[in-house]
Amino acid sequence: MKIKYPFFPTQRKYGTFSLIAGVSLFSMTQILLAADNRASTPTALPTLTPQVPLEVTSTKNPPTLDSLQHDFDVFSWQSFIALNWPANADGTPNTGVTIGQATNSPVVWESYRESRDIFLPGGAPPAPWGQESPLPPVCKNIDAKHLPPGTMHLTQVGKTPNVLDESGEPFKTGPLIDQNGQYARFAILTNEQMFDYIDTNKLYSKRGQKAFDANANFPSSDTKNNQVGSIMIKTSWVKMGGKFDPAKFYTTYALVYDNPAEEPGVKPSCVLTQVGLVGFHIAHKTASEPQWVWSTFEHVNNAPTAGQKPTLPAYNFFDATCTSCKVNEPPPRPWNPGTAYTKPTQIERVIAITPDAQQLNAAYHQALAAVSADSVWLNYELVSTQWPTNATSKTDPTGVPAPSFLANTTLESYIQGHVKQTSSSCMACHNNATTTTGSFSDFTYLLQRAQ
Amino acid sequence: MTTQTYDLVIVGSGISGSIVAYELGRQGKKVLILEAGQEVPVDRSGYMRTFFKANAKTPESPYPPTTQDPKASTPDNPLGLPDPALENVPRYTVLQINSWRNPAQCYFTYPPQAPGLTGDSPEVVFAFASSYERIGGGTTWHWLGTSLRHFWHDFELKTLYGHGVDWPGGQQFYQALVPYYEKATKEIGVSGDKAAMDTIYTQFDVEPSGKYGPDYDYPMPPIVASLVDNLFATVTDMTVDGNPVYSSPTPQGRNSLPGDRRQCAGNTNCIPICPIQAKYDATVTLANALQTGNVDIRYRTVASNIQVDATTGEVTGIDYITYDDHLGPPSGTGTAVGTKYLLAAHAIETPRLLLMSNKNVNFPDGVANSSGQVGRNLMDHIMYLAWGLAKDPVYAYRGPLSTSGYESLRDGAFRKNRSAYRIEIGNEGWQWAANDPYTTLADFVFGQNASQLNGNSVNQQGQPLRFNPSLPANSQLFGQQLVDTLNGVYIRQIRLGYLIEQLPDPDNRVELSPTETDHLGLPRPLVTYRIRNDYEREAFVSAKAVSTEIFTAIGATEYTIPPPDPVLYGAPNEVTATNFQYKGNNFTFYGAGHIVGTYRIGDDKTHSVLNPRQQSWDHANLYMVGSGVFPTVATGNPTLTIAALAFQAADNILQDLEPSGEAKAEAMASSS
Amino acid sequence: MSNDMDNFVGLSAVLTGFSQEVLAPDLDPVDIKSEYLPVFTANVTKESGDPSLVAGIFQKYAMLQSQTLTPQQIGEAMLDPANGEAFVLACRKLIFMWYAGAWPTIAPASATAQASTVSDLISAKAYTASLVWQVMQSHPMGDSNYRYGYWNKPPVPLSDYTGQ
Repeated sequence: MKIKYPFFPTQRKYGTFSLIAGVSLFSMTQILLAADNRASTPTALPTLTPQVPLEVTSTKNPPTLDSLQHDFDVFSWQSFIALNWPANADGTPNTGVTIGQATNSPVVWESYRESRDIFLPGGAPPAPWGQESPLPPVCKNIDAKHLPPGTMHLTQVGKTPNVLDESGEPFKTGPLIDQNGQYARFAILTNEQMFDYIDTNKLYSKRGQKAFDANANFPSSDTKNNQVGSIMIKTSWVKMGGKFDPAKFYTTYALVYDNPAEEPGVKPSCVLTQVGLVGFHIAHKTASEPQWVWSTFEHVNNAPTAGQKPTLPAYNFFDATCTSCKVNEPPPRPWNPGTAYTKPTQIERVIAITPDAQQLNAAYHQALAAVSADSVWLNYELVSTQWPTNATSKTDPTGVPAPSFLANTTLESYIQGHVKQTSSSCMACHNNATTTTGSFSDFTYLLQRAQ
Repeated sequence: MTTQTYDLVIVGSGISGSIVAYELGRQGKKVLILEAGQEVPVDRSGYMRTFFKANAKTPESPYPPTTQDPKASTPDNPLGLPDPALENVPRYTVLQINSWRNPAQCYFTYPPQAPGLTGDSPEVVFAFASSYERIGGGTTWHWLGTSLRHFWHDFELKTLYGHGVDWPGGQQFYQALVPYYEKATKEIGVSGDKAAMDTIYTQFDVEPSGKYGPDYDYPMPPIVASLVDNLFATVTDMTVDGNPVYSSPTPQGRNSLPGDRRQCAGNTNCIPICPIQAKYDATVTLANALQTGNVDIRYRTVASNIQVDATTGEVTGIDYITYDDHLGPPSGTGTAVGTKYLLAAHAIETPRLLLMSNKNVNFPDGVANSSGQVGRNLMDHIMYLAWGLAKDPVYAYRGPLSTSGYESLRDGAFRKNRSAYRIEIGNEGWQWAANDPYTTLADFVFGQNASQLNGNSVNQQGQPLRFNPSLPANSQLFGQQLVDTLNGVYIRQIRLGYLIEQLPDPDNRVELSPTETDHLGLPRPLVTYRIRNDYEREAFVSAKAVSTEIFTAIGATEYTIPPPDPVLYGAPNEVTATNFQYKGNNFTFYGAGHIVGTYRIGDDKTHSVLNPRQQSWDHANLYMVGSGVFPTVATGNPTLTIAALAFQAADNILQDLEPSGEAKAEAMASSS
Repeated sequence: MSNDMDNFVGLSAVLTGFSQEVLAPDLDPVDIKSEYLPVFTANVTKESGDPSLVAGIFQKYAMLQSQTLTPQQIGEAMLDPANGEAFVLACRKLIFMWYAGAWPTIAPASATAQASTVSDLISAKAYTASLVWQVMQSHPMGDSNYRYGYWNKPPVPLSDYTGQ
């Protein structure tokens, strides 16, 4: 099918805009060379590689806030490409293909470990990396291996579908209801390095955290020894069907589980269903960014920007014809993801994507389209990247983040804005994350899920 | 009329209303809450933005309707206070205290000062010093979080010490409340130090067996102590009126561990607003209530009249007025109908509603008011503040606003002679006491001396107060010297606050203003408030002396400024609001925000509004909750007791709704 | 304009006792200086009625800064009464603005009251960026970036806050 390109900014030109092309990300010499070459390769498309970048590369000397923002945004796109690269059975990238090809194959991050499979009831040890964890009882009757036609990819690797067991946004700010009247679903995953740290230090249980009795300090990516550090992924999904055309989403089959632990009144239920990706956070701890680098991507149809005229005929979380809908308000309680139909929530993006990020999105879309004109990845855009401007500050443990605020309309729908402490800021909020014993948990709230 | 009939109609969505709604909703009862104020916001950014931008960061400053508007500033109204006559849901704010004689700026109205009084006359009337909120979630938005129980001695003030009144049943009432104190502690999610409380309970003979309840403990470990706490904890060999002086970590309604809400990050802003909701507020319980699916809430719905059946005396409906815009016209009217009714609108608005409901033939003086007690016995913890500079840095302005206190002075034989108090230890430097950091800043930038740190001031013990004796008076500093001076001051600032028990005085009361109304045309409160008893004033004398003794014991220098003489007569902007004299001392009092009394429980229908079940003597299907039911203000901060009483009332209502059903069994089980 | 900003930041560092790197770091997502300079310019011009006063202040600072003087010497020269009352008052208000995030109005002493200062907050950002919180080695009330229990330990040294 044909994909439209509503995301090419046509009205603006940026003379200074350029991209690094063909650079191995792990070599400083080459990077400096590339920086020197900027002016001579202004129109080159970004290269799509399966390598997750290990550190951000500054392309301007001295760097400015804007130049570094751009560099971090490039880092985000490179990470997004690498993490969504088609994977081999063991989760490593399939270097024989390029992103957008091999559409029946799972992608790299799908081999990451879901939080539900790390923090088990009773604080039991999680299964070793690469092995399956038990399903919620209500999901066990489903023959997960017997999938509808066209979804062979999951059975090819013998992997049980992911369990989507969350339907509320952080700190009970509320569920997100799509235009089909269905609850969006969320999942948090860690890469092997992060999982190993949790596993080795027994941070998967309350007892283990008590014994550990220290602040967590996850491994960082390190260009010196070419080590990938800790990466956390948070995804949001909508059920396919109704107003949603699966051809426009990255889709998978998942066990959508209504979790009674979420809210009183929720009855356990589990369905195997096709879901489409609408939001994608990447948090990556690097040697120079101990506050982690926070990248966030969204489906391009999620929501219009506040104060701007909606440009698309339809959105995933916005109805242009509804004038009485209150914007960015969750549905009234009671909340229950098992509800057959809930009035959709009307979502707008509060902080516009910057022109520079839009330009970068366009460049990456062009590169993705060059691989496959109908690549589903053309439907995803970078919102922004939050990074520490003063990572070693002694007086601000959040490292003075830029931008000060960052939200994904599907993951922080109701706390978008510009108010310190309360509006969504990845680093400001995660700075206060702790273990079940109250020790600093190194910018992840996952550890407080231990039982 | 509402189309649906409810098992219970509640007025007010604060902690009491929310707890009762949750308890009934969980049992499958249908509940309607009428909330006069605006909705609980999706996220608190709007409130935080208002707070950040407010010039005066008072307890009410974050919340709607706006408390101050610099753009509306005039010479007569420098703070830009709104005119309550133009507001649909006005409330009293601390910024209004100094405008107490100006009804165009102050929601409360006051009777004139009787002629011929002097500054030490017991008959002097004052401005009330405490405030509340009228929004979804109520006043817990700006509570401190202190979660102390009262003691049973508090409930027998008359029997043991000959003052005030007993709570009905005295010690038995306390014992019956114990399981509800435990429920309240759990619902709020209190972080506390059981061992420290055991010591206090032992000292005050709370329970000779040493068992303070079957499940007595705290859901979370204690909040860690501040460096300020550690300094005050060094006081060990002092006694006051025979009681030892030692500080205790305060049980607090904020998360010491992560949970559904975030762990406390020490934003030092519990009042006016915790930005991250580490501190419990009633919106937590309200959300739980709504999650049951059995509770409906209508915001911007102002209860205006209670209808009573002339024959049965039962309440038949609560009339309300709705509005869309806070300054706009009413948008509608209606009547909420239920089997039972609960007033949970705090201790000013509840009696106001009862008194406004004066059109029922048998109750011309207001609903539930056959005793004439509605609105009477208005009380607060009247506060004495003392402040000083520690010898060494204690790093004020860090951590929750208060994390410890002197509880050891809350009871004793001295209560025959003067009011008891607890002493709250502040972590917020001189913010409350002297409007710092700004006062000290202006002093050293512009060469002023409002803080007493930059001039020739001496304290009441004759000690010179200039911070740096090597600098001249009225120094104007810059650069490193300014940095070092300001730092040296701020990191040493300490503050004590005494919560003095005010006696019930039937003449301290809420009535209806005969002339002033709000924008809905409803009469505004007329508040008469005195500190009439030497019993209370003696506690100020004690507090003043004890402060000096404590500061001396820790090697600190006291900076408490005695207030100017009371001015009782003159133009509205000339009279003082809270100043009085006693035994040659000038005092000013502050409010603790503990608005108490006004529809008290009691054993006798001629002297109380409610029976001990918090049920109206006059109307069998009408109940009231909140601190208005307290017969005395007692010695603990009230919220935990308010919450416990709400749980108890919920059981009573369930029992009355289904006298033979499961609810009764449940109620009996949980109160046994 | 950038020259004005350089002079503004340089003068602000001298008078407040904070380093330029704290007031206006090279990478400055908060960028409070861009809010303060217009407020300072507008208010000083309005209050003094002298449209050249702000320029005069910056010129004087630039002149002093080009000499080999210590910050203390520059500050003393800027606050010298010989510069004129309005000039010195503007410099003092500059200090107050950075520390309080608010613009001050001074009420002179009267028969019944001593001199005092009232002030009008410039913005929410100015409140959280104001230096009083830094000079007390803490955080703005309502805006802490520290972690649970930090109040149980002394803060990092003052010099880390002031950048001096």
